[in-house]
Amino acid sequence: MSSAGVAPGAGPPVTGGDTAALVRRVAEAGVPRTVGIVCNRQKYESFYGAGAILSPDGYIITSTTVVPAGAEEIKVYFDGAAVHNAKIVETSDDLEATVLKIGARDLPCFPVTREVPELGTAAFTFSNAHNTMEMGGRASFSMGVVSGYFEVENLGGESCYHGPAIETSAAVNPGSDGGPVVDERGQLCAVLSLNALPGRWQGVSVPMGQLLDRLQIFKSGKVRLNFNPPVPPPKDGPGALACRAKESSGCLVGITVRRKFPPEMLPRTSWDDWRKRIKGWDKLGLAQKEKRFSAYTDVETLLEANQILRRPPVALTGLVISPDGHILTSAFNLGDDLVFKDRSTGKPGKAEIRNDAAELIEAGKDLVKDSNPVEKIIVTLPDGSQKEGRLLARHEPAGVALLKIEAKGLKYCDPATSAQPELGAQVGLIGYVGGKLVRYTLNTGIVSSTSRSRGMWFQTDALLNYANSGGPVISDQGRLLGIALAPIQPHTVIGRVFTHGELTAWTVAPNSGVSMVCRIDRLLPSLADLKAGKNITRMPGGFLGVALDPREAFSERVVLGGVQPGSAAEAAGLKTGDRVSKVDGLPVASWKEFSEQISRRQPGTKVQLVVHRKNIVRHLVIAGRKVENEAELKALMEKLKPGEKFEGVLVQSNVRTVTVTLGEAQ
Amino acid sequence: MTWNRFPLFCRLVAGCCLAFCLFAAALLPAGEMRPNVTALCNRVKPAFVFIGGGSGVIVSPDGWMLTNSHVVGDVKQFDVRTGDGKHYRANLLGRDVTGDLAALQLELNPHAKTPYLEPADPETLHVGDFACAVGNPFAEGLVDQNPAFTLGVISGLNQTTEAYADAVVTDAALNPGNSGGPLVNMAGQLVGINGQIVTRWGLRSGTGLGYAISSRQIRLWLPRLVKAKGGEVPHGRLSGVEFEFSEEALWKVARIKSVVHGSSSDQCGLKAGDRILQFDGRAIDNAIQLARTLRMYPQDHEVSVRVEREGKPQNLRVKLSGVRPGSLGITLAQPGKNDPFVRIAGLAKDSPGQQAGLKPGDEILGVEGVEFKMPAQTQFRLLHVWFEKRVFAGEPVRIKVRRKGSDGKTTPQEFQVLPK
Repeated sequence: MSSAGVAPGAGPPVTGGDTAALVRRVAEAGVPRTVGIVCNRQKYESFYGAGAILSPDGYIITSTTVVPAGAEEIKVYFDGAAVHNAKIVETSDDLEATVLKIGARDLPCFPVTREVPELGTAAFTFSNAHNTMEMGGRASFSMGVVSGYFEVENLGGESCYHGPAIETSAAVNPGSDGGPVVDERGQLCAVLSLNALPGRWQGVSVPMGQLLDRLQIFKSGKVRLNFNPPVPPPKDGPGALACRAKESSGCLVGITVRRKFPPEMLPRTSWDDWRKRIKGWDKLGLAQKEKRFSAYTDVETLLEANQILRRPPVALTGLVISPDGHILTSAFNLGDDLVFKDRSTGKPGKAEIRNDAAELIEAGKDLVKDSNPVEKIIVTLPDGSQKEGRLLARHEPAGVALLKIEAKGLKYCDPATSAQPELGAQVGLIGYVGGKLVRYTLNTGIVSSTSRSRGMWFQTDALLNYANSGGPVISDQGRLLGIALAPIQPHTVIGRVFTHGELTAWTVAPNSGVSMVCRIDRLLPSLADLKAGKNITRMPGGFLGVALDPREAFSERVVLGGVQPGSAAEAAGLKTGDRVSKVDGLPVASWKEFSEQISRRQPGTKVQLVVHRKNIVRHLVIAGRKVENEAELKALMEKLKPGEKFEGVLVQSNVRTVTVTLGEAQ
Repeated sequence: MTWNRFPLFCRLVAGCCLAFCLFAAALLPAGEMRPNVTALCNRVKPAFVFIGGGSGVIVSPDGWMLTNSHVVGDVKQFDVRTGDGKHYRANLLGRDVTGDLAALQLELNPHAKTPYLEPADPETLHVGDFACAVGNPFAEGLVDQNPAFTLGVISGLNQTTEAYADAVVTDAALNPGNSGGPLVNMAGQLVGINGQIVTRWGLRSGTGLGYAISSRQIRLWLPRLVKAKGGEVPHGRLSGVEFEFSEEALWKVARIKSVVHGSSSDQCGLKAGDRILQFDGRAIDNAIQLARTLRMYPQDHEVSVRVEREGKPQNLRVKLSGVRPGSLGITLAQPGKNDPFVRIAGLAKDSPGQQAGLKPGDEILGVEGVEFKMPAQTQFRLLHVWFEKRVFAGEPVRIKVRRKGSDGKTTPQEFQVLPK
């Protein structure tokens, strides 16, 4: 493979293979134990999702969002495309659970546990994502960690489970509901629900303990469950990240931000509620019923998509960095949101459930845009006590804010003991969640890139959402690497319902796996300024005010894709389409080199650029004077005396030297 | 019913459990379950390529590069940069638009070599294996030109999507901008080319469900793509064969209903009544599965086919014909308000339609055994699409018409037209 001294990409495996083999075993064992389920109710409502086989004789656990009470034509799809008809044994709306039975024997089934796995240990999901199993596909497997254990409330709508819930960072998609969550010992520990913690939107599942204790069929002992774990618990306990996260969680605070206009949750609906509002429902024909049902699902998806892009009313995360109450969080958490106000009432527009998605959007038509400033910051300490926080300063380019509360002797995380992120290394993103169970959450990932935004940030694939924005990101050595930044771009908006078209304009949504983190090692030099209350609004270094031409992003040509009005570049006469070949005599062959050259210099310094413009510059030199346009020619003509002889030269050049005085970054 | 599948099923699974327990007694994870991939990232980085709004990967020491066809679009030449910042010109070698794969040649200095990734042997991959994706999601790496690495596992293998005939599913975070980039295993081999993601609620972010074009597909297509001289490599087809077509039959069996005389399938020896058991070594359970499998191959590819004929298995070699758009030379008349069917307006001279015996004025009752029962306007649109997109050169099309005879009576007739 290797030739001519060039290192090929392939090489020996990077892992010892022990854990890799374990994960493979869990996957191989779980896929055939997972089923896809499809059913109908009243002929016009259709449902699909996943389920887990519980016993060799065909008891299957799933969710009421997959098989609701009264469902008919329940088909269970097995790995390998076999299909069986199933009957409902028991359903419980409170637990969001349905138990099915098919006629079978000797089925492979999941071993079950009542125990709630420890936070940060591996968790696996198996899913009939997008109903691929009905089409003969296999269950899809995903790996994450047990990222949280907290109480969830009845969200309304289809998802009605309330109680303790196990959250996972493994993939959850439409069609995952009802599917198994498996712990690192290969046991079924929970069933995926459609419920979620507003502001986190990760997979929330109902613990098996709840189901086994509260469902009649399990209490009756009719189901032959297998409680033998295929794997004994790891002797060393949970992994390093889980342990480190537990230690760090003592420095974690919850931050509640009150703005002028409180965030409003969009109305939720369920098909049952929706149907009750339709007049003369019973008299409608099947086709009409189908039409209404599909209108409902349109509205539901639009509401959910909108919901994910507004700030939910939950506590956010901050990190105590001094015993006397300095707290770091993301500047996003304290940002002034946008609000769309009703022109007549001056209050945020209110969405109401209408007949269809088009009407829902119409509802928010006569709106004016305004800002929604922060009015009060409340900090919840690890002991549960609350204090009012004061914003000391913001570091805009870093994306963080420093808060202060009046306190003494707090447990804190010293930023001076921070480390640099290493590409590919394991990291944990810790978030605050509060409540009585486990008061922090842990999403794990790797360092995706060590440098973003001129080296101020790094990137990780750990899931980042509203609630864990502002939380610390730690290494598996327990060293602080950074503070998690904004979960969405550009910013959160209330008072309006956006169309699907408008929503796609949002580039980054929560939990995309592209998460930006402010590097603590880069923030350290500014920390004293922030503590002294000095806002930092600009990147250090010189600023030109030009944008890259994306078409030339990877070429050897530095081409300007745009010039910012009022910038140093505009003052110096630079134009869109100009190509820069040299900076102070040094050739630049990439945008990276060019921007490094500029930001290395201080604002106010003069820099000489060699600029190539596409349109050839033609000018006359008459009697030794440069004439660039008609006005100059006229002025020159007036100065010349009749009969005077002069020489004219036509100069053609597409190169010129431009001197720019660098400005400050914006 | 498919109950008889279960005993085998259970034996396999029991085997699994046993292995599971034995294994567990010996080995347990001491630290993190997921591996540290620092060394892997640094090794893979120089073979990664930034291209346009997407990603790519170098797959040979002399500079063959792969990306998605949708990343390349209609552009033939690119400026690209590798993950370690080297600039190259890249020229299009060939595209598979349907399968979403494109090969380019990096302009290297004479005798220069470049780091590259070798496509993994598909037989060595398993669901649950760790996999690392490299890409430029949301173009975040545009300025500092550092690709982003995301770690996950292989969630599924041999999956079919609308676009991909043989996809690797992964839960490594994939987002817009990852398209065309590599999915690698822990040995640094190419598992697939990332290309499709499932988004949620219309937002453009990934949800832990991403699809990559498998290394099996890469191994099959790369040699053809690099010889395509900048053009398209057509997909292969089993032409001139009709399968039993009922909902039950489609899911239960892949049995040939008829073979067109003189078609390539006929020449390869396929016969009506044959049941396809294996195609290129893959067991075939039903016609749907066969159709999915067929989408994997380029034209002129030769495969072994095992059929059951009169109760006995038989092996054949079949050469897949190319999917070349064909023409019938038929012009359709816009139907009037009360017309029940679409009329043929005209036939080009010496066109396949004319040679087959069709005449202007014939009313089209159906195509390929499908009888039209919808309004004539809908028929017109359907026929238009059918004749434009679903007619292939050398593959006969059966057209049923009714024609008014000299005696004023209309009689339905079927014509077989061989498109050019």
